Amino acid sequence: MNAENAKAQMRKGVLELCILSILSRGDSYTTDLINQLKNEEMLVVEGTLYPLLTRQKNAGLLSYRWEESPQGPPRKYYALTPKGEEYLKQLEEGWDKLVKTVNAIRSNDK
Amino acid sequence: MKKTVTVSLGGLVFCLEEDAYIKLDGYLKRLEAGFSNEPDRREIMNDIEARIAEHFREAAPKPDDVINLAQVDRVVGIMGDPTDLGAEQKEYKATSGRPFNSTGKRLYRDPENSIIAGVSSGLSYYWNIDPVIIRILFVITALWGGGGFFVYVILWIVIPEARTAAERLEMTGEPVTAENIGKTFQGSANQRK
Repeated sequence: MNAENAKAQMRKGVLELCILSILSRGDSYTTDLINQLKNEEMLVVEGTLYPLLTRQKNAGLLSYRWEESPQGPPRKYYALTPKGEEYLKQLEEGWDKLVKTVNAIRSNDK
Repeated sequence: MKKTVTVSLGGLVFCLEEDAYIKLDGYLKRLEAGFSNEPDRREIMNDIEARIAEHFREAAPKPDDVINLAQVDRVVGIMGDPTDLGAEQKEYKATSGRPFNSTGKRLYRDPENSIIAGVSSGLSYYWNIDPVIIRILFVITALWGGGGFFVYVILWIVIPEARTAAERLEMTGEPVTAENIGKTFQGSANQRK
């Protein structure tokens, strides 16, 4: 048992929700997404994000387009699809319920 | 003085010192192997390569800047080891069903120090004894009645080979951490030279 490990598992579990949530506020280029998640300490290693984004895209939750960048090669911009919005709504409900339940259990404990 | 290797990464050209190139090449290969159960692993790899290129561009903005090993190590640290990325998960599950012994080791054949199929070397890690002793026992019992021969062949078939860095670490009883996997990888890269 290791607290750091458990915390990493928790972050991993809600990372999907966080990606969709950030994209629901507007389209984003992968590096912006990484920077936001890192600022909030949701992402420890950047590589975690890529398989997840590709899976979400394949599931029809995200779409992407290429945009020219002022410096360097074109950038991949991700956007939430209507299906993704629906999915995000479900995850948000699940999250709210989870937080409520956990808080209820913790306050009963004391 | 060091040799350099020129690579194209994420649509940009970089010049890497040779040791930095070996490290990066190995890292990308391990990563891709780890994503072997993802149908779109080429796309994931392209995205990751593009991100690594961004990091390199930041570290070496001028066209004749050279990327060294420390810079590759830093970027590998930022991107994360395949085992952290949920890659290699499938392989990992396949190995996790088998028990560890009391000293935290798991029985594998050792392809890197093998005479025939690495059975003796694998057993020597597991029991922590000199592989030469096991080899002598196999040879004696093989000559004396032939039992050793059949036992060897059966073990060859039954015991899986330690193919990934994680499996090698399980075999030798070292903790499977990103740092140790890196060390294991460098060890086998040096052996290949």
